[in-house]
Amino acid sequence: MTTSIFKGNYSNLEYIREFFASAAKLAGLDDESVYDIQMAVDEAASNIIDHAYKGEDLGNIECSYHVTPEELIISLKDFGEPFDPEDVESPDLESDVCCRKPRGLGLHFMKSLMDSVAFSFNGHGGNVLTIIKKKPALKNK
Amino acid sequence: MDYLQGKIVRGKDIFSRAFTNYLRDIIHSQYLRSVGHIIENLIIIEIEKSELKRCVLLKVSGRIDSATAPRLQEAINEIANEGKYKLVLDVSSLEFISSGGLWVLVNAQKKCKRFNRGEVVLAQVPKRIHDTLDLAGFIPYFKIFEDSTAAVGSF
Repeated sequence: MTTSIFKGNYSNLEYIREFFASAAKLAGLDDESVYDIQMAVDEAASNIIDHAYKGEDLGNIECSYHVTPEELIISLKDFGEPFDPEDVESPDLESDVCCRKPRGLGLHFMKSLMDSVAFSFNGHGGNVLTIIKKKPALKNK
Repeated sequence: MDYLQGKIVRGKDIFSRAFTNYLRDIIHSQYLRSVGHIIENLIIIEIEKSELKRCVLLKVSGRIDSATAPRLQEAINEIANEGKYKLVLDVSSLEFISSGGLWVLVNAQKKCKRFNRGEVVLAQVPKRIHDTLDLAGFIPYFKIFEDSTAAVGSF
């Protein structure tokens, strides 16, 4: 497990994306998967700043990854407020531009781009988001 | 050296690519090469505005995330405050856009389309950005053109 701790601010999103992009390349994932991972972790880290800490520079984001023969396991840990992902409405992808509301898109991205997304909450003991991206050869099994 | 260091410290500002290219061209020594590398990594977003006869052309390059989305929002607000609602976004050099960035685009579209006063159209959308727009269900909201000339000509 490799871990890097970042201060929870928007300027660090670039570095968090780079950190996990390196992990994805190390895991042997293709360019498209590397990009998907950057998208997913950006959404995850932005959500932590916005919803767990409710602002910038109010806590750290512990970023970790672990490579197995089958998959890349990513986790982001924060010490802010937990939230229930079930409470987040799925975005309405069909409605007109005038009526679209901004909730739920980040989570939708994570779930669409990754093979699994799981949350575990322990309030101020640490909330952990675990994202898994399978290596391509095994996806079709 | 102090002048260059002053430029590096303002890492969050928008640097012009012209400045970077110029700096790269004059790089000879090892020190200046490392400075050029640092400046290149600090350029996260670049926004170039061209006021045309029938619309405004905004070229947005780099990466739009929660850090840089407000800059784009500001640029679009400035244009709207001048009463201009016909906007071409050239995203040919856009490398990344997060959901926060997408909302800046959608909010711009909502504003521009109000009272039928105009709209935002996209030009030269890279495949990855197109895929992101599609994932968000945003493709129906924007006319997309293969090049800026066609996009500008549509107004």
